Amino acid sequence: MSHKGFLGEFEQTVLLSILQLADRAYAPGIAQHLETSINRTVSRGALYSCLNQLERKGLVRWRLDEPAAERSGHARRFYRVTASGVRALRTAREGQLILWRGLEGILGPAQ
Amino acid sequence: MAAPLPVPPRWPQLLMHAVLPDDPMRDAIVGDLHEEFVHDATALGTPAARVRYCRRATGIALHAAVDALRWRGWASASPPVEVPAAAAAPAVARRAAGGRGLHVGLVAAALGVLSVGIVVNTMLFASVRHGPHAAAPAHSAVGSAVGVGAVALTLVCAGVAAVVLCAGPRWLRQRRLHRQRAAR
Repeated sequence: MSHKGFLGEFEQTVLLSILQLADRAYAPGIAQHLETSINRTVSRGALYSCLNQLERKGLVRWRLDEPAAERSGHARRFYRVTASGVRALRTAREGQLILWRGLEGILGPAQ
Repeated sequence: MAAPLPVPPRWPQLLMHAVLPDDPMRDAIVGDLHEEFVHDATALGTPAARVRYCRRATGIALHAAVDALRWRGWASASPPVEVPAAAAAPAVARRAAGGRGLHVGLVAAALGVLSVGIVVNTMLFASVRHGPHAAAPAHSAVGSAVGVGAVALTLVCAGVAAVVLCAGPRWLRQRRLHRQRAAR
């Protein structure tokens, strides 16, 4: 997904979605948010794999909610982005902005 | 009279328990799947919800198996933020590192099973293509049947390899604990 500390595209997307959802970011919510906001269907396997990898990198932390009946007694696992995650996103954005600069003639202006 | 609540298929739950390590991550995934199943059953009907449930569970199991092959099981790497780190860290760290030393033999076993599947698959295809009956009129039908069988065999081998790899550490750990208890 990524090498040498850089964030992959999907990792960036998931991190941004977690930030957007604030303290209600759990896997189905993230998947639904990506579907409704950027029309991107996400495989659950890829999403959990990405969340697991982000946790191992120390870019997200998690907390457990109370077990719920509609979840057959299982608790939700809410994620939040750590300070390292925010720093990684800033670095990724700076790199992207440098690469996008000066390409308006080819790609058109940003919407 | 209230309609009975839809029930998700049982085998994907068993698959999750077999493939994923005993960890809060697994509980959360099973809960997420159940929650989405209930939502889908309300919106789309129970049959469609069951199909989606199975598809999601299979995809999760495949991703978990691939990640385990790359030495990244889905055990929690850190304790939850709302539990004091000193209390939760040892358990999670032990779970995350558990069975890593045992993985070498399991990876070898999984690769062995997978290799057998690939070798048999190749031999079957080679026998159909270059065998004595290769030019026979019924060759295409036989070839198709053998091809489907060979691919199915390879997929079964891949599945067995994934289960060995993912569930193996837990089995070995339980066996070791059982032996320790018996020794006492």
